[in-house]
Amino acid sequence: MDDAAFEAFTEEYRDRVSDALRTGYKNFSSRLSDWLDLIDQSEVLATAARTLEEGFDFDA
Amino acid sequence: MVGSATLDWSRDRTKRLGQTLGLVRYLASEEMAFVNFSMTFLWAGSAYADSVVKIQSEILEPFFRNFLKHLSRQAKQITEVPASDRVVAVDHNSKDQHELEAGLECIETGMQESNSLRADADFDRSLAELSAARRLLQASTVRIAALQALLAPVLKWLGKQALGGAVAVAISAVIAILAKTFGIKIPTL
Repeated sequence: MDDAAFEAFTEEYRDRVSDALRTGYKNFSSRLSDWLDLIDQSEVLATAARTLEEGFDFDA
Repeated sequence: MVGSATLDWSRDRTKRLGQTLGLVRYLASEEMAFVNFSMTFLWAGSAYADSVVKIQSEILEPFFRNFLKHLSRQAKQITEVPASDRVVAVDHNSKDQHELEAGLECIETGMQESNSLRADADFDRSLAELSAARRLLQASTVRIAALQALLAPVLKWLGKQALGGAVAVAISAVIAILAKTFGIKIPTL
């Protein structure tokens, strides 16, 4: 991903973060889904997200 | 006591980032997930709005900031992975992709119609490899290494044949588009 593409992504990222942090409880989960969708849209960024360890089992 | 359970956050910053990403996926998974989380780990009172604000300010805000830094670092590293190891998207609407598909079709047809090529011991395998490469390119993504492994030997073999006309033009065009679109260079041609 080149610098220009990442800069464009960053702009969209900040918009969706803003939506997720300013929404009320009724839209909270859908705003977070929108944020996750943005990450998954990019092969490079989805791969970067997968490199992180996801450790909790919230149902345990 | 409600909301007083403690989360076993990793001391490692990268792992903690991954754990928070897992939490975000959980919170996004269903509308009332935040209630379960809040009642177990982060009680802010009986008002739903207060629970969401607490999660947003105490967990998500720093996470989003740190996650962007992580993506920035990772995006640069992934970009620097050698071309041959990459999986890339195939843009089926692009002009180059149309020309690549047309060029490969022309080459395949030319091979099938050439008696001199048919007589060569490498013909069957080369035709199969070309056909397999065309099939790979029908997918939405393609592994560069796989595409190169299939096409490089065929194109090199064809380069040694005395071909002219449309097939020769198509070979040149395909080689140029492979280099431009996928970074695949066909050596010795």
